Amino acid sequence: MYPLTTFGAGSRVRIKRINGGWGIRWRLESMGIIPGVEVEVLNPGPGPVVLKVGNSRIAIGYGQAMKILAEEVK
Amino acid sequence: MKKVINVAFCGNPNVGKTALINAISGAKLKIGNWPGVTVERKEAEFSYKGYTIKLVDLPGIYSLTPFSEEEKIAQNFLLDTPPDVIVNVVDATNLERNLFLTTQLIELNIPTVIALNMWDDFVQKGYSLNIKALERILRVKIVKTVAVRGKGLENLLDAIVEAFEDKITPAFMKFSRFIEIAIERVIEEIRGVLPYPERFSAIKLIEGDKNFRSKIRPFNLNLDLIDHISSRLTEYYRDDIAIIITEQRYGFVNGLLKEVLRKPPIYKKEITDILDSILLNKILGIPVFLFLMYMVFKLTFNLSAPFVEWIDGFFNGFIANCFKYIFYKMALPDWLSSILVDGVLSGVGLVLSFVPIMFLLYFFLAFLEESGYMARAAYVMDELMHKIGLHGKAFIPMVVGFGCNVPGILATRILDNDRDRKLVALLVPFMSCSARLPVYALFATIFFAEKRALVVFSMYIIGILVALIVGNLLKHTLFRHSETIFIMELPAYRIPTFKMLFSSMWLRTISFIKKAGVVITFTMVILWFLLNLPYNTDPGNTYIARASKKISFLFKPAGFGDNWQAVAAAIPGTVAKEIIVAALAQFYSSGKKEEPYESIKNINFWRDLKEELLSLKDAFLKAIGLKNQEESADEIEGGILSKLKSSFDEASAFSYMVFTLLWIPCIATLSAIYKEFGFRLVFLSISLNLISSWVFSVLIYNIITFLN
Repeated sequence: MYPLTTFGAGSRVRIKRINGGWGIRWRLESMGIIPGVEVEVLNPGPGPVVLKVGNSRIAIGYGQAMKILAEEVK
Repeated sequence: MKKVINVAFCGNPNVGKTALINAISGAKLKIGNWPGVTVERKEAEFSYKGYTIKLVDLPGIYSLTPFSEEEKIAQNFLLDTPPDVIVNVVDATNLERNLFLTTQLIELNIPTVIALNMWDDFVQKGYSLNIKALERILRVKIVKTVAVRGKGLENLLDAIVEAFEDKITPAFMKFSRFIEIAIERVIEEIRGVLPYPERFSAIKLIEGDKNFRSKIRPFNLNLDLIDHISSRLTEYYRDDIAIIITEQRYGFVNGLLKEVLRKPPIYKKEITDILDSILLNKILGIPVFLFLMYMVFKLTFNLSAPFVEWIDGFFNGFIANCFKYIFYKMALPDWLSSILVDGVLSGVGLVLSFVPIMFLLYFFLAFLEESGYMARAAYVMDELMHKIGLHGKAFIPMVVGFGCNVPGILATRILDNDRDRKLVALLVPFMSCSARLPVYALFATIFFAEKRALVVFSMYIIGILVALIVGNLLKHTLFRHSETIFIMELPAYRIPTFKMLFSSMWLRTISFIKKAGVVITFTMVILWFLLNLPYNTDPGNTYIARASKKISFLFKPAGFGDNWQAVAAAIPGTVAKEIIVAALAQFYSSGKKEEPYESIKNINFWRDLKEELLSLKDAFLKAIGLKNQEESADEIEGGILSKLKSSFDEASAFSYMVFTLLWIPCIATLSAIYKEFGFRLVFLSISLNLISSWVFSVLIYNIITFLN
């Protein structure tokens, strides 16, 4: 499990865990970023991280993205 | 008696909800604000097959939890004034996330219709959906729509009527066993006490939704048992129960979609991503953005200038003369005629002369918004914004502030917390609004001729830089902050339809005219008193002039201390910045009121009208570049031209422009700040601008003179 910010652009990863207070997690999850979901890392930062979740693109602040842990999907 | 159907449109942002409502209700759409807040509220009322349908568009939300103002509004509306039918607008290509909200809406126990919008995209991607099965499982009616092409609208309306008549409520999703038991227990506690849908309320209480809890306070419910249940559940699942519930919702949706949705695993590089590789590029991103902004403002300025001029001439020349003639014939006393013409009428003319600029600016801003670029701009600016302790979203109210500070202040609503909103609201007035343009136009044209577009653009940049400095200062003093969360959806790029652009810019321009128009016209009259008393003396002798002469020494270090007129003009400028030009004209004029008859002696209605129409045609030609814009400084303010040339030099003209840029926000802006944040912030805003306008105009004047 590694922070989202460590993956290369274009990687497909599965979200494993989100660290942080439940407020932040609730927010992320309500937008579809939830443990178990597979996403594509469009832009790993520095700067806001852009993910493709389903058919939407979500930009997340770098600090937040560092708290989202994921595994590469082979 | 026609039956009334109350319908609420609900859904994620960027799913085409607005387009759908526009398409369904056409011209019957009315736009306002949700009471007490500045989020837009759209409503429409029309007849369909013997029913009266009343639509309300709720703000786009991801979830019925109170993370943002939009979500609070939606939750409150659905609980306080439940509709007869809910239309859940869903992006068909993104069911995984959209249906998450659906599971929550269903718990409100109201007949629901799902509008599967963007159906054409769905089909084009090669997806397929077992709609009948979905309808059966969720117990809702599903209609395929393509809002931008007007497809599926009648089916949607029929479905709404059917849902209303059948009164079939949707089927709830089931959570895991312990949670279901807990829900039942809580329902027992609240049955008969709360007027809200049982299941929805129970789940909200278990989750600990703050908005809901404050909502039910008047019912004096004992929450001890409920809190106990929540903590037991959290203990059991070893994670916050709200998170568990969220995850189970997604589990349900994913399980459901596995049965009914087929997606071929084609990986095509989409246009949006190709564009983003340039526009969001680390290196290219910001320059591209700055370039686009510069083009927007250059186009706005150049295209609108001929019309602004024409309107100004039309009102202050032709129409003014008509009225003067009428008043003369009516034998109205001099001073009354003057109030009406020089006060009221010129106020109206002033406001209307802004319509071309507003129109164009709002057009371009709407284009950037609808095309999806605005979100990228927020992203690109995020790092920079971070340096002043804000995040990229804060950028949007500031950009809006470039058109007019008033909607910029109101747009701070999109930020998630109070501290951010206040800070941004203090910085918005540094965004050079279109009301300041006449002052720049005047001075830039006189002193900087060919370089005027560049000089005007530099005003915008200086405003931004000062905002950065002030923002940083505030961040370290009054606004020490807590970490704010940056999450933003980047919608797919799309080509905006002209209809949507036009309606957006039209509505905003009209609302500016209404809001600002009344204030400014009223103020012009007050100003008339300030500027014209004692009546019929030299302008240098009026009360305001006498006062300005006394304090103008303060501005010596800024280079325009010898011009009491420039200082005096700032006073009316406190009320509305566009008035500064008129005020300057007034103060620099020789002040002898010509005999009223003089100016209208040669009036010939039809000849003059024809002239006006011809010059309007010329304005069109100039705007599209077929006729050269003369260095029309000569036409602008006639006599004061030469006075200004002799009273200022390049350096002091520039510093005066900076002074007007940073000067106290206009009354409309101050009232917006008061309305949103209260008097303290108004006071803070006034102080900030007062101080920075002096500091920076002095600084810049001295730097320029030093460099020469």
